[in-house]
Amino acid sequence: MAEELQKVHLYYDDINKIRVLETNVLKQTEDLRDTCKDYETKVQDFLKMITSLLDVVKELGDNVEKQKMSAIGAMNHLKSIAKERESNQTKLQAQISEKSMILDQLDSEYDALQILEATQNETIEYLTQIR
Amino acid sequence: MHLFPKLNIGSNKHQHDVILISAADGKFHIVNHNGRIEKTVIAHQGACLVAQWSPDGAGLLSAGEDGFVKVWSRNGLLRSTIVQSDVPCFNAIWSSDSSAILYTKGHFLVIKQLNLSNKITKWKAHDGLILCIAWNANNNLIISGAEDGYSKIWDTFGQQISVSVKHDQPITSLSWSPAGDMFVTGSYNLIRLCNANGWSYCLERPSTGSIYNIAWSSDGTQLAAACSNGHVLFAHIIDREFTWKNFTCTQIGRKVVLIKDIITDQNDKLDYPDRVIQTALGFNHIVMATVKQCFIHKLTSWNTPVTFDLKEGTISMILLAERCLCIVERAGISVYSYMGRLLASPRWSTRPDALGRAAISLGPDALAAIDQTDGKSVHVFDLPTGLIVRSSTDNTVTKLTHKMTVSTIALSQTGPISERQLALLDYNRDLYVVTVKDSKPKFIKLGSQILSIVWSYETELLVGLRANSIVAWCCPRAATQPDWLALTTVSKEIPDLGRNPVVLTIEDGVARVCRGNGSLLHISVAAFPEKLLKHIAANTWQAALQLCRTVEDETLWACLAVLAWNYHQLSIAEEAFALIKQYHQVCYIQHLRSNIPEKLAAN
Repeated sequence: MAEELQKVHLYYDDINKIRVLETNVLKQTEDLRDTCKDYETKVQDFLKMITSLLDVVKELGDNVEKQKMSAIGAMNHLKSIAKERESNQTKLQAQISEKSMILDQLDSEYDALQILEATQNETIEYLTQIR
Repeated sequence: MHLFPKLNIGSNKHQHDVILISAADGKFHIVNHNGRIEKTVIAHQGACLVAQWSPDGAGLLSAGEDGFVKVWSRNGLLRSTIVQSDVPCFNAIWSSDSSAILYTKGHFLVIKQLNLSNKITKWKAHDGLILCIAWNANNNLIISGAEDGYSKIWDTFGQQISVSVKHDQPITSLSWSPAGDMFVTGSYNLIRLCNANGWSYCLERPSTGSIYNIAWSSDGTQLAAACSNGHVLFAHIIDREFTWKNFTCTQIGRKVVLIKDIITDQNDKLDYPDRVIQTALGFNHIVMATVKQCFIHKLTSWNTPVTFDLKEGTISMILLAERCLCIVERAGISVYSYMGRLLASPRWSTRPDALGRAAISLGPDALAAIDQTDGKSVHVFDLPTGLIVRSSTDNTVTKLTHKMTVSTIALSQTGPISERQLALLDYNRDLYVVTVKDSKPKFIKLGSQILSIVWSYETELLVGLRANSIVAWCCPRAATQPDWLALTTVSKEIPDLGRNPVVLTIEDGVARVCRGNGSLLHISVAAFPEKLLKHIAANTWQAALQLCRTVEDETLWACLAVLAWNYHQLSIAEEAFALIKQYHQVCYIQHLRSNIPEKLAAN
C-alpha cells in the first residue's frame, strides 16, 4: 500500500499522516525555513546596526562641519584682527605725524618766544645799567 | 542700466533755485526748486560726469566720458565745444570770473581761456588720475587731488604752491572754503582740514567710506560731505583762536566762545542763541557775528554786549579799527560804531562776498578797498566820525590809481585823517605808501619783494615781511629822501620762514609772524622806535629826546631827526641830525633858525 502511494508521490510520516513530500525532504525543507528565518533576523540586526552606524557617522560629520566652520571663522577673525591692527597702526601713525607736526610748530614758537625773552632781558639789563 | 547718476549741484545766482543735475546716461537736467524737470538735454555719449553753472550765471559747462567739454547757454542750447579728446574728462570747473575753464585730462591739468581760443596752460599735476579739482575765487588758487594720494595747490600759471602728505587712499573730494583761507580734502574714511598754505589743521577718520563730495556753507563755518555709505556728514569749524594783548578768545563749540584774560586769569564762557560765524578781537572790543545778530562786547565788561540785527546771515569778514568796525556781508559792506550804530554803507560795483582779507582795509576813519573790476585802483571811503552822522550818499570817496595791479592794501591806524596813509603791495610784490588826502597822491616806493605788510595799530610803524627777513619802516611818510628812508628802517634776518609767511600784528615793536608751516613767531623788531613814535604821537618831545639819549641807537636818532623835521621841532631835529652825521641838514637848520625866527616863534 505504501509503495502504491509512493508511486503517486504520497507518503506517510512517523505518525501516519499522509504527506506529499518525502520525510527527509520535508525535514530539509523545514531546516531550510528555519535557517532562512535565522538569516532574516540576522540581516535585520545588521540593518539596525548599519543605521545606527550611519547616524553616528552623520553626527560626526555634522560635528566636523561645525568645527570646520568655526575654525574658518576664527581664521578670518584672526586675519581681520591683523588687518584691523594694521589700519589702527596707520591711523595711529597718521596721528603721530599730525601731533609731531603740531609739536614742531609749538617748538619753533617756543624757541622764538625764548629768543624774544632773551632780547627783552638784555634790553632791561642794558637800561638798568645805564641808570 | 546705470541708475546712479553723479550729482553736481550748482545753484544759479539770478534764478535762485535752479538745480543742475548731470546723469550717467549722458544727459543733464535743469530742475527747478519744486522738483520739476524744466529741461533735459542730451549732452554726451556715455556718462555726463560734470555739469556746473558759470559763476556769473550766464551759462553752464558739461564734461563727459566721451572727452568733450561743452559750454551751454542758460536755456540748455549748445554754445561751443571747448575740448575734444579721446580720454574721458572727469573734472571741469569755471574760473571765478567765468573767463576760463580748468579741466583734467588724465594726469594733466589744463586751463583754457574762453576768449582767447589759443591760450592754453597745461601741466602734469600728478602721477595718478586726477579725481577732483577746486578753484577759489578769492585767492585764485587751484587744488587738485588724485589717485596717487596727494593733494596739491597750484597757482593759475601751473606753479606748485604746496603738496600734502601722502594719503594711503586716493583723494576723492576737495573743497575750498568760500574765503579761500582753508580747504577740506576727503578720502577713504578720512576728512582733513587744511590751511591755504597746505599744512593741516586737523584730521578726522569717520567710518563712512570714501567721501564723494564736500560743500561749504556760504559763511565758511560748516560743511557737508556726501559719504559712500549713504550718509551725509556735517562738520563745523571750531577752535578758532584770537588773541589781542592779554586777551584770548577761543570758539569751543558751535555756539560757545571762551574768553580768557591771561593777566588776571579770569575766564568766561559766552553762549549765543545761534551759531557763531565770525569773531574779531581787538581795540578793546570783541565782536561776534551769529547767523542773525551781531554782538559787540567791551573787554572791560563783556557780559553786557551791544546787539544789532544783521541783514543777511552770510558774514564773510569783520574788520576792526579804533573807532568803528566793518562787516562784510553778501548784501554789502556796512560800517558800525562800537555802540552798534550804522555809520555808513559804502557801495561800489562789487561782489562783497568775493573780497579777500588783503583787498579791504579799515582805518579809524576810512575804509579802503581794491576795485574788483580794475585791479589797479583803490577806493578810499571817508567814514563819518564823531557825533555827526552823514547819510551814506555824501561820503567822500578818493580813488587812487596805481600803475600795477594791487594785491594787498593796508591803511595806517593812527594820526588825523589828513595824514591817513595807505600801504599797498602790487603784483610785483613792491611796497608803496601813499598819503590818501594829498591833492596829488604820490606813490613812494619803500621796498621790493615784500610778502606781507601790517601797520601797528598804535603808531605809524609799518612792518613788512621778505622771504627771509622782517623789515620795519619807522616813519614811512616822513621819509621823503631815500637816505632818510634807509636810516629809519630796521631789518632783521629770520631763517626758515617757509612758504607764504604772513605778518599778523605788530605790538610794542614785537611782530607776530605766521610761518609757512603754521607756527607763530614772535620777533622783537622795533621796540624802541615804536616807543619813540608813541612819545611823538603824544607830543612829548622831551620824553622822546630822553629815550634817544638813553638808548643811543642810530636808527632811533634818525627816526627822531626825520620826525622832528617833519613836525618843525628844529632844535631837536638839529641835535638828532648832528648825531646821525647829516651835517648838511644841520647847517640848513641852523641857517633857518638864524634867518627865519618868526617861523620858529609860530611853533
